[in-house]
Amino acid sequence: MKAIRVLPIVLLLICLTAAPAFAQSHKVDATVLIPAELTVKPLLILSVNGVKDFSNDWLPGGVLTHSFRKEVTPVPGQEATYVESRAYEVWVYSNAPWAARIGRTDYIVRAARQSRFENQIDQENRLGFEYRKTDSDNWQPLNVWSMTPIWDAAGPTGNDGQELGSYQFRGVVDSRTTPGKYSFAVYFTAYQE
Amino acid sequence: MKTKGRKGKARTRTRIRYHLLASTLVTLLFMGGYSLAAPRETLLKISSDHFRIAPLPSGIAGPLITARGELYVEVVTDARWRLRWEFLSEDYRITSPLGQEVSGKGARLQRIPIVWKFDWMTPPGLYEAPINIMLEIAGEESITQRKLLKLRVPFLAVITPQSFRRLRITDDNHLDRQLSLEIHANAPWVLQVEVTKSHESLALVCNCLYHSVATQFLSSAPVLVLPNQIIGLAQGEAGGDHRLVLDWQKAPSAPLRAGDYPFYLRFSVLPVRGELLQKGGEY
Repeated sequence: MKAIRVLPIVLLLICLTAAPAFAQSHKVDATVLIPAELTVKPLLILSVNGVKDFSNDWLPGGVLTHSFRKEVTPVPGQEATYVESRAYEVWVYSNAPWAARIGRTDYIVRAARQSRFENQIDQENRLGFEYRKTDSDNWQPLNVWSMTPIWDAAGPTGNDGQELGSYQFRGVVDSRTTPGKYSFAVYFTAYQE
Repeated sequence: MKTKGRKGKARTRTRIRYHLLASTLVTLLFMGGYSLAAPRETLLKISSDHFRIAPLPSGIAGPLITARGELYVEVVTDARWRLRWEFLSEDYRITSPLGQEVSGKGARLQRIPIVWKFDWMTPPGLYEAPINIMLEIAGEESITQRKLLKLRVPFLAVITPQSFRRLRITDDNHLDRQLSLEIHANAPWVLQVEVTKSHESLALVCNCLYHSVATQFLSSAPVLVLPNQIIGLAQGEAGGDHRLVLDWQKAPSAPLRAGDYPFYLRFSVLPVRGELLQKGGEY
């Protein structure tokens, strides 16, 4: 019985609630809904000392190389001397998860009017390579054509980018290293995952 | 005794006078009522309903707007009859699909559909047009009644996009991210846009590549459009000569991850009621 008494009140309340919505539906403005889609393409920018390299469609990630040419004169009896590069400030801008790697090309040594590639040099006469972050004294080996990890990011960098820090290379020369002019390139590579 | 006899006669005369007066009154009332509700007039009863404006579907905005109404004419006779009508206002485009007359025999409820057409320069308001309805019955004098057709015109507007295909906004395809809109309205209007059902970090920049002379883009610079914010883009006067070509791009500041972001652009045209328009946020 109680429910029957309450029912008209409930119905009245429903009607009162629905009335403004009904009035709203009689708006006289014109409206059009256009479906749209924004496609954000993968974009990766690698910046080394302010020089930017943009990813393109056929190769995700950017490659930037810097030539590094030094004349090496081993000192007989001296166990190790070092030929250091300048510092490279590295930044990455990415709108997807990304990774950065470091490496070097093989070298050509020109000595006694002869040019030879790295693999043509006796193992014992080879020039060694290392890299480090400039705020660290910990030099790491840098093998030819290596993809040595320096950064892995699970997300985009945001608009401000990600500073990877300052990196430096050096060649390690000992008394057995063949004298000559060594030319090669170090590279930073970033790619999106 | 004499006095009693005179009194009786006087009463009788008074009664007769009252009877005469009452009879005259009844006769007059009867005659009067009869003449007020003349039987000839009852042969023709007219009623009408309100005009309904045909729906204005987006994308099919023609130069004229159509409103439809109906007159219901009740003809009460057993004889043959002819019903004619005449629209008395030459300012309006009012016609009937039935032509100008219809004929029949016997009592009938005749429906007269009426089409009232007007253009986009007709401002909102109440419009009235007289119509004469004439009933001719063989051997009798024709009956004419006048009726006032009433049309209430609200604010009307239609947005016509070049197509309803999905707008594809990319950096490298300039054409797929452009949208052409035509606007018809019968009063000063403002075009608003809202990005709906989108990723919360979505931010777009809208640039007006072209607008017709009668149309005013509200910003001299590209406009930043953020999700669920209603932005006024353009305004114009009544009429149909309004066209806009809008270019949409991702706002450079939007920190969006690579991928596809579906959303909707909701365009609305509203009447300007003498209020100052709020300008869209310039980017």
